[in-house]
Amino acid sequence: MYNFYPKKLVQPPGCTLNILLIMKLTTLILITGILQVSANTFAQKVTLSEKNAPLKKIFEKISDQTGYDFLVSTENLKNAKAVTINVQNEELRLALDQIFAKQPLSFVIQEKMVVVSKKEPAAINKVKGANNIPVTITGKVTDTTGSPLQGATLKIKGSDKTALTNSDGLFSIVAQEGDEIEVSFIGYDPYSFKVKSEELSQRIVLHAKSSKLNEVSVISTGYQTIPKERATGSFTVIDNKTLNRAVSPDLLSRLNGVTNGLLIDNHITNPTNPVGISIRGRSTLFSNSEPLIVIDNFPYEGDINSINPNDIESVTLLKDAAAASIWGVRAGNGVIVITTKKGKVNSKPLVSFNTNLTIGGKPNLKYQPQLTSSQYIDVEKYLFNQGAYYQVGDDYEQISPVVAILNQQQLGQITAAQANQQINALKNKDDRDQLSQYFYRKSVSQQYHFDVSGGGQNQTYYFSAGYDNSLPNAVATSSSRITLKGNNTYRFLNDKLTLSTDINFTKSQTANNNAQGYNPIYPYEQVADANGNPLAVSGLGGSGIALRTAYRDTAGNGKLLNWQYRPLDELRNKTTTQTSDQNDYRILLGLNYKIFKPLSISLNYQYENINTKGDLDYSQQSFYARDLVNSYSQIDPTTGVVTTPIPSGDIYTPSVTNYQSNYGRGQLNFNQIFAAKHEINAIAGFEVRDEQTQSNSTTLYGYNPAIETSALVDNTINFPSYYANGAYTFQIGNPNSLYALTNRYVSYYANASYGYDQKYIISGSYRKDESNLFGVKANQKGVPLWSAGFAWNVDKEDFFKVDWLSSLKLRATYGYNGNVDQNLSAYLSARAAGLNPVYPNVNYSIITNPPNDALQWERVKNINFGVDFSSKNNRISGSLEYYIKNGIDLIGTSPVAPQEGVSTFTGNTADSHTNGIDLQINSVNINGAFKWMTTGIFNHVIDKVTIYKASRGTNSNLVSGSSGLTPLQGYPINSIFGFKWLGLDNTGAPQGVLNGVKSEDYASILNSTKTSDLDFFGSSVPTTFGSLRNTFSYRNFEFSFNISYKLNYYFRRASLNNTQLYNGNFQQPDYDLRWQKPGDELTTNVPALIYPTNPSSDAVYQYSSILVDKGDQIRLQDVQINYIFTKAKFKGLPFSSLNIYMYANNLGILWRANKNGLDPDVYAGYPTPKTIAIGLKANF
Amino acid sequence: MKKILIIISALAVLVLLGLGCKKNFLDAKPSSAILQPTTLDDFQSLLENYNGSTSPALATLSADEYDFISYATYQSSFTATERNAFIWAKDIYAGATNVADWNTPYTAVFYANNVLAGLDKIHNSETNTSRYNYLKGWALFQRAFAYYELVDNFSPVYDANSAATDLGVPIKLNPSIDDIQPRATVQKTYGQILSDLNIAIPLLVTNIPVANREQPSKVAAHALLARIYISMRKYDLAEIQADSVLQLYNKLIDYNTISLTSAAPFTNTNDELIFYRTTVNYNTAITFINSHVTISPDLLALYAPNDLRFNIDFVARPTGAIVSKRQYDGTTTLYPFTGLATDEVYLIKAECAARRNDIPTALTYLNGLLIKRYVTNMFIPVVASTQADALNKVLLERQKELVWRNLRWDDIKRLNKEGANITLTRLLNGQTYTLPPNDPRYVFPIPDNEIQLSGIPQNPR
Repeated sequence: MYNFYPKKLVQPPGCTLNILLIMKLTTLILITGILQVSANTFAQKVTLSEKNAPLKKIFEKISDQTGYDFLVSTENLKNAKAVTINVQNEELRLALDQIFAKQPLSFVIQEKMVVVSKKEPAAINKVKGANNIPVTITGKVTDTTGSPLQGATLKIKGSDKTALTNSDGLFSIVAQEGDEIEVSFIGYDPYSFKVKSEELSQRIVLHAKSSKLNEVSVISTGYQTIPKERATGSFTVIDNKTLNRAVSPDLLSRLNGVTNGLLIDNHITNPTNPVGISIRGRSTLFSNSEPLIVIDNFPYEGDINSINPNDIESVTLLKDAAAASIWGVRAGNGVIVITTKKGKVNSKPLVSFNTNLTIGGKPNLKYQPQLTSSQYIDVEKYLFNQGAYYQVGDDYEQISPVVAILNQQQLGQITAAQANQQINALKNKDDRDQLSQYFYRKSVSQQYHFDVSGGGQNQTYYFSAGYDNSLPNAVATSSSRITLKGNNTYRFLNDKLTLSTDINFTKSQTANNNAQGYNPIYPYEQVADANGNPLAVSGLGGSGIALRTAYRDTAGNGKLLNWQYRPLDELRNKTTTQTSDQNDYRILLGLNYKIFKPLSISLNYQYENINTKGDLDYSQQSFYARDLVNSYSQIDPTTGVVTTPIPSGDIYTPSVTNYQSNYGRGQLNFNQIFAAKHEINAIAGFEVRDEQTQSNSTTLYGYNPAIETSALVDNTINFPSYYANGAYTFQIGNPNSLYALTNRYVSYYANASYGYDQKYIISGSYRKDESNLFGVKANQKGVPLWSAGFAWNVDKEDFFKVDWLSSLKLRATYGYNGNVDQNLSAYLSARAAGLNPVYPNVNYSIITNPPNDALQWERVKNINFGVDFSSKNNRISGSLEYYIKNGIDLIGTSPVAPQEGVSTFTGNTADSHTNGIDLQINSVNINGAFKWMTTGIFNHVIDKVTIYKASRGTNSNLVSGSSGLTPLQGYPINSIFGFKWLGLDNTGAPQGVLNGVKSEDYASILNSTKTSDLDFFGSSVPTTFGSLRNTFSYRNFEFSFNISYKLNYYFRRASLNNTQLYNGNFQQPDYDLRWQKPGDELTTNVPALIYPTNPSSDAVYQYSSILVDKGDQIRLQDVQINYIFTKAKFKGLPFSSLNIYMYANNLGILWRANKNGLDPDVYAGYPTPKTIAIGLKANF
Repeated sequence: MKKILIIISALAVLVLLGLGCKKNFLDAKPSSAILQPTTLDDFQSLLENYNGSTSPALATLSADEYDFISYATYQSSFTATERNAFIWAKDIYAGATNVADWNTPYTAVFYANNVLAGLDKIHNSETNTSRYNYLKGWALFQRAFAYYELVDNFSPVYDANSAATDLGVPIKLNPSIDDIQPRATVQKTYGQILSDLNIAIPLLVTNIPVANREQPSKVAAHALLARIYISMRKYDLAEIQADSVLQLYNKLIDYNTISLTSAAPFTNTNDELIFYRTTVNYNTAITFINSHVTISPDLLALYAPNDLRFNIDFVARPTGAIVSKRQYDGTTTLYPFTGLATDEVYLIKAECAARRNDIPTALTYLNGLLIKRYVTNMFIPVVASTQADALNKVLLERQKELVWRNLRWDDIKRLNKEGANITLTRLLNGQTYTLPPNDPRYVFPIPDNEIQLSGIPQNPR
């Protein structure tokens, strides 16, 4: 059982408690000054004048004056005598000697801490027998890094005899052979050894207590830090060690699989939530579903991938109303609070350097099945014979090489034998071989990070520099990131005033030297001949029309530019480059002033500026530019003069987006303990936020990069095409685009908690946000959100005497969070859409939002029950939580009758109900020199749309659902439905169900509104997920692996789509399995191919139940190996410690429910290749 | 005491800072791209939306002006709707929802209703009266045109005997999107259209905005009324409207001045263009550029040797198909021109005159048009001895002049009502498809999702 109890609870936001103690002794109290001042052990002076004062009060005074913390058990305090003392500027140690002289207590000064313990009776050597001869054992106690531990206790078991280590970690104790000596130190696992006469010198290494890896005693909400014991809400804390288990340049992949309540999954990806991240399921339908990201004190609006995880100390998830409602309308999806590293008071400069190298495999392009070239050629021959390729009738439209051969044969230009020979040559080609060979590679990424931190008496600092460089799988792409961070905290005016500054800079760059990209359009398409020489293929250039390669060869009789498209040349010559260069500055200022004892005021300010510059350059040599120039060139039939409206030169599109935010906060903090038992902590404040985004881009034609010039173009004329005798026209679009966004918020908030005797804590919070949300009626601009919570530390009760359970806490909360949809408005709103395309001398606009008088903000009601527990010795610890979330007035989108003039209606149409369980259990299975620890996380979340006032749409709407969402009253938010499937008939046609009976009326099946004609499967998002992490360690060696699981969900797999295939999409599975002859319907469900195609029939099959698979899977997520060389062990080491690690990620699926060998995590493309990283971290 | 003062002043400072300039602070517009339409400029930009100038294309797909060059090309046509409309199938859309032929006119109505509601809210002051009135007239014109095309496609052709009971289309006159309207009667639908246009006429500008022919004018409103009345077979009223147009504007283009080879012979500011409009997009069948449908040979055979229209309206593709070139809509779209032009008004005037047996007037207007269509000095004026002869000659020229303009289907419908007894047939892959006069299939089905979501009755087919 441990207790962590800072006397002064005001923490300037962003300043974490500088000591995170993890203890396992008796009930201990830490008495600490609000601000750490002292440094010098020898020169520390105190002034005291007290009469019969309680010892605790004396400690408080000394702590205030010196910055020394006192660690004392409640029991010892109870037994202490009143103190009378009068000293002026006395040295600390001497003053303490005086204070302790009459106490039944003794003390020892550790680095910045006074540890108080019961005074030991004079050592008595028990006579154990005549043979026992006392021996003196000497030695040194260090931590794993080799740093000496001052004040470690050596105790002879079965006696009262103890000894302490000195400042060098050295000790000396007299014992008898056969005695067992236990070495202990706060925060470290104890160590015992038997006294042997031949081992009188001991070198003892204590390991930091690791049994509670995920338990950190302080949690940060971004507004305040709260001791975990006093919290009523639901938090998940990821500490530094867990964060650093994974090797990655980004934060999210380090949270993936180790964070209780967090799901990162492709199936929840949407435009507002590009990484697909959710905390406790989805709380909204169509509004922003991404959790709020907070760094230190303020929301972070930049790209989460530009945060360097090496600068992060810990991450806290705020999951329920009590935890998150302080963030108001932005907390509906939960909050992720990132706490960055800071320096420590009175610490020598700590320098560390970390570097690693990650290598990833080449992607498996053959993961997605496709028709073989031979099969696809069969399809083309069939379609050709049906006359499907009407393009052969002209001379310019793209046709495939096979169709061209067949056409030549039909026209008698070549013989059947020649045609067969040419076609056969294509049959054994596979486009993916060359694609993989030329366009993909193994990925390599490197990371370097250097930091130095420390502090003096009145100041702390942390500086870091990081560099990441990555060469992803696509050959032409690269990215890099530089991060710089400087953090300083200064204390003035006798510590009344604290000033902290934090400056962050991130420069992220990405480049793609083949922005044109390349996608083969036939399975046999080749980009290089047998000798590796580039070959020409069809493809889309600047004109947007794919022309026949034969036409490109001859068009213009040499008067036009080279018109061929050779993807390999484009790649090798870097003809089309796209770069992005982002500079992100974030500057924070914090001021905290202690007005008088219980009250302080803090002012915080953050300025952020993110400047993103993007360049897209189609060079003059690029196929894109050549194609555009040629397409609209005209050759005068008499003079042969070529004229073109597209000036010669690059087509260059620079763009700049600038984001600026100013964020200010004023807050009063009140912390007081009355009559020893009543503790009140409260904050109240307001904040103002102003965010501005400006963006502009322009397209320059005839651009010359050498001299930065461009040419004027006429964008009011429709130029006729060169091909098709000018039948097509082209208007050089209005190339300039400008926009500006402004988001403003004014918020008021208060949060208070009252604790009685550390047993009962009640908390409450209130927040009101007002914003410039467009067109919301004034009285709905602001929304009040509140929460209330209660916690009961059962273990503090006198009646609690459960031997095997050392701590037990129960808590419950209730309250509301909110969510905003910036895209909606109560009023008719429109968007300027530029020039009327037909008469480009006037502007037109598009209605984006029909009027909706009743529009309101979304709210989420949260109820949370939790229990935290740990067994004796922390062998088993963990937490179990049950929660209910009710979404109220959720914004829903549904199809409306087209007579309304719009196809969808968006408004407050839905309520939802979510409940779930978060369970985390940590266990120490073997505890000794060899350790085995397990962390298990189990999350279960079930949601349901309880009210949906808008129209459900047709069954076709329901099965195909926009962004995967198919809200239907009584069903999960992310439901998967399928058309009922009755197999194929004897012509290979799909058989569905209409009004309960077998039907082949596909149009009616699609447009039916009977839910009973559908099969309901379940959620398309994992409803049960979590991980099991095992860590083994032996001395300085550690090995761990993480197994993650996602269960109880469904996905729709692809199958042969007739329409898509006959439109040229050859990347389809199940071609082999298609119905081909009567009788096949008994063995297959893949419909026959028909011509002409019937898209409705295809849709009924595509969305049928037969193609829904269970998504359940278990993966071996990663494996980590870690070895620490310490100076203590390796004398010659130039570092105090050197950590060498290896990390392997994406190791693969251990088990999956689907029988088709599909990876349910792959949404499109190929599975993420395995990666392996090696790295080292040195501390100096 | 001092402490309390400090607390109070600290709180006061915080609150003051917080309240400071909140009012204006929160009034900032969140996005420069968002426009809350309140000004006349804003409303005009909504009316400039090209949704206001597109027509359903089903009539062109179903009419007898074209044929597929082979069964194979018929099958290769991209959408089931195009294939089904060609053979007048009972179900046209084959499960497709959000059919543009139905949705786009309603979108135009929605825009017009928003503009009308917005104009109601702003003050019609002295200085902007004429522009205010013009925009109001424009919105009414837009709404009327959209409703006319809806009722024309999705309701039985106007028949004074049954119009009071025939089902028209849902009429929405306000911008709210949560009130579902039932189908009004044909009578009521036409009543609304005519009322909107009659209110619009005095509000609109008199002359055609020459550089912006997507903007309506009095000329356009009269021309539209002439088209509507002739479709209702109210020839006397149609003639009055045609006269109103021609009094204001009667320019014709001499085709001798037009390139015979250009793929786009006209600009969208050409002299005959009264009001710009094209059909909604369809992938293949009706794009002028395609090479797998051809203007039907029977129709092509009607053109005389010196008729300039043959080369100006049509072009031969390498496949042998003969297709329509770009028309009066100029160079911007690939789809048939459906707008208003003076040639149509001349023909309406001629037809109405013939129908009231004023043969000289009919021939004056007919020959006045045709002389501009023939090679100079090669035109032999049309003569007619009887009313029937005059009428037939006008109707023949109407078929040739207004080819590929989305009007042929309407003409067949009303001429059959007049007893013309035109039966359409298609021969496809050895099978003959027939559409007898006044068949219910002349009325297009309403898209399934409208039926499902609003519960209005479907047209019997």
